[in-house]
Amino acid sequence: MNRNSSFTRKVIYATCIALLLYPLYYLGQPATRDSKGGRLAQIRAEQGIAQSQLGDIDPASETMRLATLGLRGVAVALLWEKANEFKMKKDWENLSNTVHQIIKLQPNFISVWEFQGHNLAYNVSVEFDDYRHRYEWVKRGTDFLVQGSQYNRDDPALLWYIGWIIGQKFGRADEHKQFRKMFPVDEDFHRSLKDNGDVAIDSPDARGPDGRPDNWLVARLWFDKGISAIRAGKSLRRKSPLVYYSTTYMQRINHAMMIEEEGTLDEKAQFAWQRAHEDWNRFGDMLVPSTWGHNIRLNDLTKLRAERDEIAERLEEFTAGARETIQAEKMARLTDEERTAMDVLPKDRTHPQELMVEGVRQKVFVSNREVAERADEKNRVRALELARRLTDLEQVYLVHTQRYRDQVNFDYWMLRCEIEQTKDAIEARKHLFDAERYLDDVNPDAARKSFELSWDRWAALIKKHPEMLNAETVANLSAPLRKYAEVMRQLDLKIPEDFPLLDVWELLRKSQGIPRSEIDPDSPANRSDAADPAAK
Amino acid sequence: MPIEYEILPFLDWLLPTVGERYGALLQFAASFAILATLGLLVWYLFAAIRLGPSEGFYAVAKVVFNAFSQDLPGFSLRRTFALARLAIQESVRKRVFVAFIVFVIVLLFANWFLDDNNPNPGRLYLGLVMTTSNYLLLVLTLFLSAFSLPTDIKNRTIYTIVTKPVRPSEIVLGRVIGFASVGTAMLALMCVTSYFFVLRGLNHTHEIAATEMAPTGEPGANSWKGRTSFDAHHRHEEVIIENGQGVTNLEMGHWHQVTVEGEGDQRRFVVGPHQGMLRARVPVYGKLGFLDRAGQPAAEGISVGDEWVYRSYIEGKTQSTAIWTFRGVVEPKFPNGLPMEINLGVFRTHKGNIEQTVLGELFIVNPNERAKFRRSEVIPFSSREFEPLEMFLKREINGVDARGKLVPVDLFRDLTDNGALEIHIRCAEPGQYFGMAQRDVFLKASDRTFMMNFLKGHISIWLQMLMVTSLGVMFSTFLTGPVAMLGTFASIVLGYFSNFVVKVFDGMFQGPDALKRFVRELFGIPEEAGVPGGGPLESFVRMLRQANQTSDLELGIAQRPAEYLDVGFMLVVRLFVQLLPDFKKFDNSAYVTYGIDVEPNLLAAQIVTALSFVLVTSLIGYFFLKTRELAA
Repeated sequence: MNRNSSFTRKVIYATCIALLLYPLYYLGQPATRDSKGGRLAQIRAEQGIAQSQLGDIDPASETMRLATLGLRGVAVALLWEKANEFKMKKDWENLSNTVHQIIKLQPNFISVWEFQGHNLAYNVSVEFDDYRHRYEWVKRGTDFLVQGSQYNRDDPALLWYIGWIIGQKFGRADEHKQFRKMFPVDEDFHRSLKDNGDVAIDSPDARGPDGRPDNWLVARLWFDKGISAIRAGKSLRRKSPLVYYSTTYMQRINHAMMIEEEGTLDEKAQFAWQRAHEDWNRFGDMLVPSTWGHNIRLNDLTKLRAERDEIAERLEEFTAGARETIQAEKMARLTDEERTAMDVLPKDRTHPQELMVEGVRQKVFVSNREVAERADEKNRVRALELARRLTDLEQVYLVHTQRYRDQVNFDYWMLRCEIEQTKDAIEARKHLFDAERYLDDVNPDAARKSFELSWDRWAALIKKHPEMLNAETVANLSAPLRKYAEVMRQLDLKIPEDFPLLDVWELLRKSQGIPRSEIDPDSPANRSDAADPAAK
Repeated sequence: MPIEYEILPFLDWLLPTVGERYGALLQFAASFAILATLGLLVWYLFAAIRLGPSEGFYAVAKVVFNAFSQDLPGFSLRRTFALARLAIQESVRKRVFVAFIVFVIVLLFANWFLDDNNPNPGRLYLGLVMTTSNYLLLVLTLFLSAFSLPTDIKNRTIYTIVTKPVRPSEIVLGRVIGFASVGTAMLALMCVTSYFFVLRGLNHTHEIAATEMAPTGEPGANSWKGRTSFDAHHRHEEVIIENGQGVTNLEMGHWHQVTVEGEGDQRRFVVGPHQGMLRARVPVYGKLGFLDRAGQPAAEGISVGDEWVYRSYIEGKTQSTAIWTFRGVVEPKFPNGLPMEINLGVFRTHKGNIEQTVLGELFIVNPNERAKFRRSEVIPFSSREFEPLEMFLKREINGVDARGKLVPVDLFRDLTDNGALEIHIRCAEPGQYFGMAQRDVFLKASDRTFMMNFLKGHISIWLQMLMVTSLGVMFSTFLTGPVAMLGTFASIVLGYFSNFVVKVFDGMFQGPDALKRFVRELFGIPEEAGVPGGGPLESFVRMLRQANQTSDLELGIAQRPAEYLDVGFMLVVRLFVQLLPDFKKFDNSAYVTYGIDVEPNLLAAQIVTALSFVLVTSLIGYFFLKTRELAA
């Protein structure tokens, strides 16, 4: 090896390095204000995963990630281990700090934010005996998630979780009475949510009847922010759109229920239920992407039914009794065995007979298409179109819409919102609230009177809205009814014969398996037992 | 502050107690004897293989004899310090003070990385500076000590030393002292910088606007109630002032004193500096015992299902009691009464009244059953979880006489027996539980200064640095630089994770297998101890297969060989770990961060352990260097 060949090699290497700079530049040039950058930067921008598009850029986070020299995974694994150890040993300061370090290394892992936010707000907070400390840690969990929303701008999952904690944790935890007293006056927390989360916490939309922020309404602002992000094209990831939207619009309902429980039983409660009704209607009008590949609007059920009836009528016009004819033909083709099975009462059928009957049902089923094919030639095309649309409505849209409505109990909440904003409902609840107060003051007489005033109002409501007589209403009235029964027992009184909520009472008794004798041996319901062998 | 191991008085730790423990001195001596014997044996084997049995024996014997007959008497401190000075010069040439610059940079940008909203910033800052100092210093000494001698040997600069009348012991010790001096200087700088960083970082105050304060009590009473401004990520929601002096509530681990200055329109509420974050309480610990719900003595309390079994629990509204027995409770130490601190866990089995904390009761009992006053009145208290509850038991207290009547008594005269007394704690609410551990309740002797405690915390770092230096120098006497560095690093890691290594080892021998049962009995491994998942080879296979720790591996015929390899490897590691000090027990940062004075017993034990370790490793290094052919 001589100096010439060494020099030549160096020249070749330098040339190669210089040539490689071009593709490196083409691929790796960072984006700036004036240029889109190299190919990688452009792809990042197109996919929306550039660091600046994800959220705030934190130099500390970037520094820490660089400092791990590619061993970020190892560092993160160690930190998670430490976090678990600190949690086990109830070392909350170190846990908080370690979690802080973890998210510096994993700022764009949504599941990390969700997990640790939940950990702080739910798991750590309950370790404290003093409710004030629990409140502090629920706030910490919330602040943590709000910080996450800065790193991951407009991520619907994070926004949902923030709303969930503010709503559910402050509003339904064991300590919710105390939390709901602390939340409205916690100006520092409100300021933090406003400054870091950019929600209009001082707007009328967030204020409760006392003019201060209410946790349910503040939660609704966060959910709403999430919906705006979805509309702007952000992915929901694994969250269900139906659940996401329904949770959002349940917040006003939760708010209305909660303020009534706390004793606000006047026009403010009415107003709250009105707003809740508007929100629920708004939810019903939203287009919800379904798992079946089409969008569903929950409020469209009536419209779809009307359309179905109309199309069925028009099809009938084109086919004139074809359905019955086809069915008769199909019935005629049944075997004797099948006929016998059909004739047997359902409760007396054997299992093979059950299967046979199921088979017969499918055999004699007349599809819309079959009906349409019996139309005249000149109307057949049109009839077939109507049949296709009718089938879609019957088997797809109506079924799916009803299923989605059932999932979120849409009908019940709609009815509830309509009824609760009425004067009768407000009065009914007011009397119940008074009854509870009298019970706390150990005044059973006054409590009884208030209960009975309330039952009258409830009875009037049920008479106006018979559909109210359902399991949810029973569940709603279950506790006050049982308290009333207890009061009557204490006063050595019988439940009156003309008890206005007798139907509700019976439903409650049956649903909770309460024996008649436990309620009132002399109640009208009991006396009717003697004539009811089935009850025995 | 939770400490999961027992800290004995120094002499109890050092010397054997018949029927109870061997004592550190005996353990060190035994370890040294075993190590020396094994070392000589292995050395002889190698020598015998090279030179033959008799020549080998002669070679070994000659070195050992010369060590005691020539090297030891001829040892010169002057030469040792000269070599130490060389080591220092070498370190300075290598610009070791860059590590200090790195430390300063970390502190300068620390706020970027720290949790602003931490519930106790005092602990956070103190933990940061001590951990950073610890790790930086260990890394620095690791590299310095491991590479020094091998570099000299590689560059042949060692000849300038060995050609002079310098003994190997002086070379080894000189380097240890030299690098330890560099480390000490670095640590001193870090300590001073950290101290001012912490003071400055935690320094804050609040303002109190007149509108935030409302008068309480009678007019003119100069009593007020209100809150402070929002500063440094928090505010104190409760400020209670009576007769012009007041205090804020505890928030983020501290409080402030508040004074009222001026009157009328000129009235100002002045908030003093923070208190409670930088302390050094001197605890006097007692011995914890329990009574069960029937009032019978029990070894421990009830488990409420907590994963961490540090605390055990007593049941409320039963005879279940936690009893702390204190000794040395004498008037000169506690002139006016007994200041004490209680740190309890609380467990509710039902919600109860959540607006009120669970109530407890406390009373003092004279251990002398024939005393005129056996116990004091019952003193109720409201429990506090995760916050210290400070109580002061006055000297003039009510005692219960034989008829059950309350009578004023003197705590020291009537309720102690030669300086011993018992404090009984019960939970007063049915269905609720108090959790406690030995160190949860203590008497507070006077506070020491935070600065001294901070220094003592750094002494433990210094001891770790000393041990790492000696390890590095030892390894460097017979290994190349990178290998010596790896060996030292592995020793540090094993030292920190020695508990985990023992658990892995114990976990490998669980199960009904006869061989595993035999090993369990041989090593005294309890049943169901350890962690599942096997040794490194098994863990590696599990990771590749994404199998969890408890599923069967199903390796077929490779199963047994893999297991045996793991066992063999872990046996060596387990024995090696036995020889290393537990570095976690040298970490006194918890004392500093929790504001507890570092116990002299603990510090003394650490110093003795560290110095013994340095002595042994230096001795090993000496023998390796002595027998090494440097010209090769």
